[in-house]
Amino acid sequence: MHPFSKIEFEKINVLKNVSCDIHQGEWVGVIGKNGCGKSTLLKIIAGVYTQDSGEVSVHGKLVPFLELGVGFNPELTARENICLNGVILGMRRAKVVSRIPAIANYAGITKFLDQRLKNFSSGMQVRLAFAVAMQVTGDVYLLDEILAVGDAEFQAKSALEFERLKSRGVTAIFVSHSTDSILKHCDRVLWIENGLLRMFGPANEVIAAFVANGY
Amino acid sequence: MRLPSPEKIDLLIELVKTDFKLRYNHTMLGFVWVVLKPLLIFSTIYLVFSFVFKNEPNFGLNLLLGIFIFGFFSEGISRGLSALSDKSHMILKISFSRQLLVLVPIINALINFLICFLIFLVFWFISPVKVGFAALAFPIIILELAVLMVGISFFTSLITVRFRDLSSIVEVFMNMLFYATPIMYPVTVFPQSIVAVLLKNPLAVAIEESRNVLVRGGNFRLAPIVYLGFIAVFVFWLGLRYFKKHSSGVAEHF
Repeated sequence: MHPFSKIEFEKINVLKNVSCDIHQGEWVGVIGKNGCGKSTLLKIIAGVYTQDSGEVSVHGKLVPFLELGVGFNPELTARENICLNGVILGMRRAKVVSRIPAIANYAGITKFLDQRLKNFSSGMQVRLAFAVAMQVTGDVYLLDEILAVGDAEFQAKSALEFERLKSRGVTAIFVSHSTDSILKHCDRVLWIENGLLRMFGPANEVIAAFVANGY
Repeated sequence: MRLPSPEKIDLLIELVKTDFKLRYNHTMLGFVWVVLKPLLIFSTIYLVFSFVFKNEPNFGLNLLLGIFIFGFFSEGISRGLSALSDKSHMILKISFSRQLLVLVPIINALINFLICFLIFLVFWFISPVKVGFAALAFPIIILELAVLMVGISFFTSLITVRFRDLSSIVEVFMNMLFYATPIMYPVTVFPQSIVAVLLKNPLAVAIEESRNVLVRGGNFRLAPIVYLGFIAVFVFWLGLRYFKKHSSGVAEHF
């Protein structure tokens, strides 16, 4: 560490040019190598980052799941964390409180509601975060690799939830490294390479091209 | 910031509760420290300076009030400064009103101050002070101070994200402010020319006027309330404009 060091910033243009239209009820997968700009794109849509140029237009209630359990604090109890997370996700507190038994039941943590979250295993935490997340009712969902964690049982449970969401007619943008998940859930797929839109079309076509490219 | 939605209010309340719970988490005395810390500072200063100022009427009460108000200001400013950088993990993952985050520590500082004020009232009741209706000016003064603190925090919370040194600078400044404000000495120690300068400090105005209406039984004076109010609203307005303009880029600079 040097005193008087200049604070240096390197400007990196992560996303250069990505444009597309997504229709209601569509599930669009987003794929690309690490660092190509997938998460940045979602963060811009979610309003976390502000774009230098271009515009984002969302019709309906946006529910971003860039991470499960935003606001989760290990020092608070599960009950307190459910309230905090639910309210951060935009729900009324009264609604969250009334759903606590259902959430705890779904996550399988009813016995531990008044324990501090730090005593939970990471699997329990993920299940809890997911259980709260599924209580939110929205129109457009942003799902950024949230299935990457979790055991097989969790994967199965979440797949079921996604089917439930689909039948409700929600729109979703789904980032994943798992081409299987993408093929299973998505109608169209957006392939981003070096911040540019490489391909946007039906899921099986894009995935096939992606895989053929050696990824 | 007009007419916030019920969800926003729920979120604010939840954030304030969480902040409060986490502060004294794992400590044995819990939020007793809220009162204990300023009381210990008071005792130390009182023990020494009550000899120096033995002819000052109600020196103890004035000192206690000054310490509590300064503590309110100091806590609010230093926690308001880190309001955004402390919550970087949330800001990076979901978009929600960043202004709320700046409000939270000020609200908690206000709650802590109210608890301290109850203790002040205990001493106040057992002291021979007379008080008139001018005492109603006190909540107005505190509110104006809170608005000023939010305004300042709109600036500091953003600047500190890029320029971490700010928290050290503010810490030193707060120390200096403690001595520059008539807290452990009555303002009359100085000649009028210096007093005029000291009372340009809005915190000094807040403390002196609070003492005037609560301890000295003075009359209601419009001038200090207007002065403090004007500065508070002006700084708040400037701060809010600055915050609205620059807060959207915060996430990239954590």
